[in-house]
Amino acid sequence: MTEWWSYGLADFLMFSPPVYWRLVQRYNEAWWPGQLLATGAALALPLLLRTGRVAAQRLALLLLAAAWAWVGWAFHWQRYTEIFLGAPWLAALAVVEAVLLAGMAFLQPAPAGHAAHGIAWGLLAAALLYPLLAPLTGHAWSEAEVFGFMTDPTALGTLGAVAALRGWPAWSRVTLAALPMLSLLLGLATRWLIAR
Amino acid sequence: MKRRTLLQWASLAAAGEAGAQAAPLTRAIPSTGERIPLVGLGTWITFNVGSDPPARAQCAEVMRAFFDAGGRLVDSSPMYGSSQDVIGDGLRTLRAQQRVFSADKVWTGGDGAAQLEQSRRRWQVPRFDLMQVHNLLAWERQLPLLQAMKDRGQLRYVGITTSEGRRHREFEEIMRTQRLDFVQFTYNLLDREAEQRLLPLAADRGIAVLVNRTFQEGELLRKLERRKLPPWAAEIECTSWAQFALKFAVSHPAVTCAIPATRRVDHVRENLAVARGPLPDEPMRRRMAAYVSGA
Repeated sequence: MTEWWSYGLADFLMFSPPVYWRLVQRYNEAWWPGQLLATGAALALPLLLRTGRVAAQRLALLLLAAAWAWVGWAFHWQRYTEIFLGAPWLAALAVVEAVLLAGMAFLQPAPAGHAAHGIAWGLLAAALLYPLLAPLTGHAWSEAEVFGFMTDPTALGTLGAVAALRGWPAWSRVTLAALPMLSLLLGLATRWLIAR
Repeated sequence: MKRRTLLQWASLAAAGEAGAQAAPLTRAIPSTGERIPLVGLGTWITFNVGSDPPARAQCAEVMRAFFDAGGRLVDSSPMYGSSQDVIGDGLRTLRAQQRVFSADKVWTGGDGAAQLEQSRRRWQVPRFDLMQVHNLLAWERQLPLLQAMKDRGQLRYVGITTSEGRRHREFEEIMRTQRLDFVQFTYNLLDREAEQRLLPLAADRGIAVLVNRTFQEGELLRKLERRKLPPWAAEIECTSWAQFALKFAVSHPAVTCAIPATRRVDHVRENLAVARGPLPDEPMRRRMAAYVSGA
């Protein structure tokens, strides 16, 4: 295909906004009240990371790995593939992030790491509060995007957790942050397109 | 007698013996003479509703209204997500597999025959009427395959597609050098590049023309709806901007069928109504284009 340059971003949106939100709604309904459990995990992340203990931080990374694996399988692979041909690729990216998080959890951190910057707690709070965007943007609660269920809040939580890690090598943080940042960019583009 | 009135009579005559009220206007496919209604049904975005039962039922209702109004040609592609499955469900529910003029596309650089068979199973039809190479993807490989399948009776017609003005030069070259029954490209009140070369060439080569993006995926209508429909639109029985735009597209003599997409029953009825009333003649078409260009 030599004419990719001639396609606009909107050409890749192959479903209508109501169909997308209906998909999110059906997904949420199918797994309710699992979202409460996932919100509990989002709440646990800052508590674990604040301790600064290696075991607690490892547990936080493993929670994130589970969240990404779930998003990849339950949303992208099981649901989003119905309406978006690129969803299997998104599922694969989510699984890669899950594997990276699980692998990096067992790195040996430096003994004296820096305390987390305020931005880390801000990102973790954003991940926890992300479902509030639904009522604030005129959507039903059943269309809310919850950490551990949808990509954007999971990516925000991951970036916050990575920033809050103490003693983990810089290269590992950059590696763990790359896919969540890419996911957020894709999520932003999708939101922009479906809001048009 | 005014030329427009003459055109009206000609249009009514083409409506066939089933009665001018009931049957939509038709145009002949040049390679066989078979006639198909001027307005078909596209499925890009609108029929990609996944497995949601209410949304699938809604699509089936759109198809029911389409067939009830005399429509026949439904167009899809493996690129349209779940659309093929949704069409298949609708055809089975309505028992319309024999009634539909099935138009789909091959969209792969790999095994076109395997993809076509998968599409056929999704549509739940015995064979496709028309198979097109989507956006010219690997056309050197896929066109010979489609021609061979047509020769074996596994397809009835072969075509190529493009949209939004992409690769028109190459498209034109293929029209000149290959055996084609159909071509599909974008043509509407604002995107009129096809008038320069592709439409005259199709008429000259005896190739049927499907036109896509007659409403620019709604963008054209959103622009037009800021203004009131001109009073003279009543002369060609247009009651909405959608009918205005669609009448313009299908009234080009080289156009065989336009394929607007919708997921609303009232819209599909409104679209099919375009194929019943009078069509604009050339002076009226110029007036329509000039009016919209100044919008």
